[in-house]
Amino acid sequence: MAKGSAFTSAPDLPPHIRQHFPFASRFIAVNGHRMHYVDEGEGDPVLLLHGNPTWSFLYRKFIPPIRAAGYRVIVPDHIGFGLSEHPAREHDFSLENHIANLAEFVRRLDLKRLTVVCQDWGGPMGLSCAVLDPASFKALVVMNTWAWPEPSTFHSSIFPWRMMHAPVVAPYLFQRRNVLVERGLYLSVVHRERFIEEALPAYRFVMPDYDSRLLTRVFPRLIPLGHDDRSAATMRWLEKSLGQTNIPALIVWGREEIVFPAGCAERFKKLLPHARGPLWVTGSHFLQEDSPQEICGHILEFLREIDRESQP
Amino acid sequence: MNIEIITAAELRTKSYRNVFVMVEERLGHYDGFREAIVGAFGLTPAHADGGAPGYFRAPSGREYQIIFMARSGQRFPSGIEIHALVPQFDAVDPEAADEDIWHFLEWLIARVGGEWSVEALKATGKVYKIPWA
Repeated sequence: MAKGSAFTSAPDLPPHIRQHFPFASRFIAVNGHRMHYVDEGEGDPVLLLHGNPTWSFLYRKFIPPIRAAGYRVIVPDHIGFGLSEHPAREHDFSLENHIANLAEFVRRLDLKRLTVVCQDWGGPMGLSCAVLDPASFKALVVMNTWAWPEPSTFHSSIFPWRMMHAPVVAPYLFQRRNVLVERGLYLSVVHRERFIEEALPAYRFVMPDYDSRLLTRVFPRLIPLGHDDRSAATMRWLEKSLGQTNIPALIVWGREEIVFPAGCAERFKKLLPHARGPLWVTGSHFLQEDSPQEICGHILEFLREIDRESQP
Repeated sequence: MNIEIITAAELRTKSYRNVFVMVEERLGHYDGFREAIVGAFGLTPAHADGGAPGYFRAPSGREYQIIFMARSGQRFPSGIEIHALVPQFDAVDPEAADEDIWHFLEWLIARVGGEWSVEALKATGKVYKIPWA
């Protein structure tokens, strides 16, 4: 299985971040962009996908237990996030480009028998890759995300979400004031004190200036609010395609989630009636920060069941 | 909010340099915002071909230039850049610029109207700890 060029560490990470993220950084070119990822362990690959505005750091507590259980754990930073390249032109970005980047990443690493674990924008991207090449995917783990064109009420309301990404308001709030990192993350975790001490510095570190934060405002605008909006056709295709797959699936959801409320978990259950779950864990939108051990336990139990069922 | 739309002849800042503040590349993301800019600055499609920039003065007295951007396939202006006009070699205070731009946002939202309200902007600003909200 091919791996990209290895760095023993990302030299720019300061010690107080590195102590929580002691993994070798790797980089690979996808569609002309430099993508950072972590690639640890051996075995069937498990791909952990973040959303906005996080990066592979979000999964720092998932990597050791999944690796120890005998799996290869791969955690990329989407283009525009984390230690990946941060292009500075809004028109460079579309949901379709992000899906194509991830699909190219999966192809370049020649990943087979792949389990994708996804949350937030990791959902539309990872699930799209799965329906594009279902034979390469062993399982899906869906957490606090969506796969259809209609947004949640959170996304369709002017206060605060549509106001945040309104014209002229968005570059001010997301890029000059960095509100998604400085405030949005805090508001979207349950264990807030622990988050501030341990994690917030890492999310700040990779978005230090105006240009580096562009994607935090581009992604909200890619959520379709109407039938003809950008991304709407792709999300309709994803919903239809996902409903036709029989890839084993697990649904894990945060009890305190408000961005994609409980109804979204139930909608995934209707879309994927064969899925286990939904299993409810303590967690707001960034449930990986709140309940990493519990979620990993559910994932590993699920994978063990699949492995048992697939044995002759 | 007291934003004054001014002409180049009315600028008080002399011997200034342009300092980039921010860019909005999708002014038509909600078209009411583009229409509000068109109305406030009296723009026509002819402005896309070498037209003059716009200017405004914030309540602080600091002045800003707005560059109107054109893009094939989109209505004009497709975007705007906002630049602070800073006396030639003076330092820039980003917080002061952010305060000025916050007032510009209040002014803009009031002009957009309809479902967009200054109250909703302020409520959003309070959630996200914007000091001037």
